Amino acid sequence: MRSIEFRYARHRRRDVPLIPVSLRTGGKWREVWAYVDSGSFYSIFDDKVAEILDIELTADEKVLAVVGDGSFIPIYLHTVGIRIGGDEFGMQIGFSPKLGVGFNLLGMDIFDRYRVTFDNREKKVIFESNE
Amino acid sequence: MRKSQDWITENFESLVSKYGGKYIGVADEEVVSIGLTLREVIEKAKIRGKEEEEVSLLRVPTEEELICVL
Repeated sequence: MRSIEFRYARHRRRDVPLIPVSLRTGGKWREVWAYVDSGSFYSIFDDKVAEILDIELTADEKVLAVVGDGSFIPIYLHTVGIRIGGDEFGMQIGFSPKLGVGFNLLGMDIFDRYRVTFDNREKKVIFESNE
Repeated sequence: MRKSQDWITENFESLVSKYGGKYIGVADEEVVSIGLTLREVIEKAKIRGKEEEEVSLLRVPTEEELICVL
């Protein structure tokens, strides 16, 4: 089993599971940061990330997701290359112009590939894979 | 790149104070560009001589956004 570990960021004595991931759509890799969010069904990134990946935002499938205040936001799903640690694979990511939470979100869909452990005692998030 | 990743994690609180609500680019353990979009951040980093793929791109949350998320 292989594992990739990321230390938590900290803000006002609180832990923030914010990790670097690289994305691409055929060109160069772009490293952006995402909050590991077990409460999010989809992985959802800011539409500005789609822009630097040269993705035509509205060209692919659109879904609606409910956010914290009960409102719906549009999410446009696109398949991109993603790199976490040394792992590279293709994955469907949602991009939204209305994300509005301050972070890109790495949601439950990434949990299909990894066993994800939030180790608060050691202040790190661990991704384990059998591949 | 790994050094910049560690630097962002270690300096996250300071980044929120200084750049909350903005996009930043980090390379060689320092903030090399600031902007209102990621494309702007990349272009400014290139002007400073940084390779696009060596720049780590972060939308820095505001204090208020962190309170809501946490």
